[in-house]
Amino acid sequence: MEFTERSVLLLIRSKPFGSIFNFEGWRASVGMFGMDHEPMMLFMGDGVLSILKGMNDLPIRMFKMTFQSFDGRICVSKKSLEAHNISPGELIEGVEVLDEAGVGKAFVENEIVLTF
Amino acid sequence: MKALIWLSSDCSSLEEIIQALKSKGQEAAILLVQDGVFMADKGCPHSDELKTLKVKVYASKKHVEERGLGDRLVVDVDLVDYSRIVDLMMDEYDKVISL
Repeated sequence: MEFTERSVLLLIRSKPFGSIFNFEGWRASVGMFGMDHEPMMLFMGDGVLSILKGMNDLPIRMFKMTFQSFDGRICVSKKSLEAHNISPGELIEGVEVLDEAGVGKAFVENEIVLTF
Repeated sequence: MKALIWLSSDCSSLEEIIQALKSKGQEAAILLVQDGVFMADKGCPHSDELKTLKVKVYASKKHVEERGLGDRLVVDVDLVDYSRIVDLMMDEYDKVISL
C-alpha cells in the first residue's frame, strides 16, 4: 500500500489525568510528525482543561515541547473556553483560539479526525 | 461534504461540533452506537440537542433494544442494523467523526 501524507485533526475532548485519553492524544500528535503526516491539535469540551498554564504538564511535557518544536498548530474552541469560564490569557503559550467557523474549517479541511 | 458523527461512549454534547460544521455549510448526521444510544434517551440531559439541532439521527437497533430504550427515544431515530451502518459509513457519508 503506497504511503501518502495526510492532514490529521487530533480532537482532544477528554479531561487530563482522569484517564489516559488526553495524554495519549498528545503522544499520537507527535507520532503523526514522526510518520510525516500533518497533525493539528484542537481542544474542545473538557479537553480545554489540559492547556491551562497552571496544569502540571509533567506527563506530557516532552510531547508538548516536541510538537511545538515542529511548529504544530495547537488550537482551542472559543465556545468551549467560554463554557469553562477560561480566558485565553490562562492558557499555555502559542494556542490559537478558533471561533465556530474556524472549528468548522478544521473539521472540513483535515482528511482524518482522531478523537481522544 | 457530508459528515457522520459516530457517538459511542455516552451522552455528551454534540452541539458545538455540529454548529461548527453547519457554519461551513456542511451537512451532518449522527450515528449512535453502544452507550452512545443513551444520547437519544429522554433521561439524558443533552438529548434535547437532537431536536434543536435538526439533524438526521441513526441508532444501532441492537444497542437500543438491548438497553430497553425502544419507547424512551426523544426524537424519530432511524434504527439501523450493522450492514446499514457499514453502508452509512462507507458510501453515504464522506467523513466519519468518532467521538
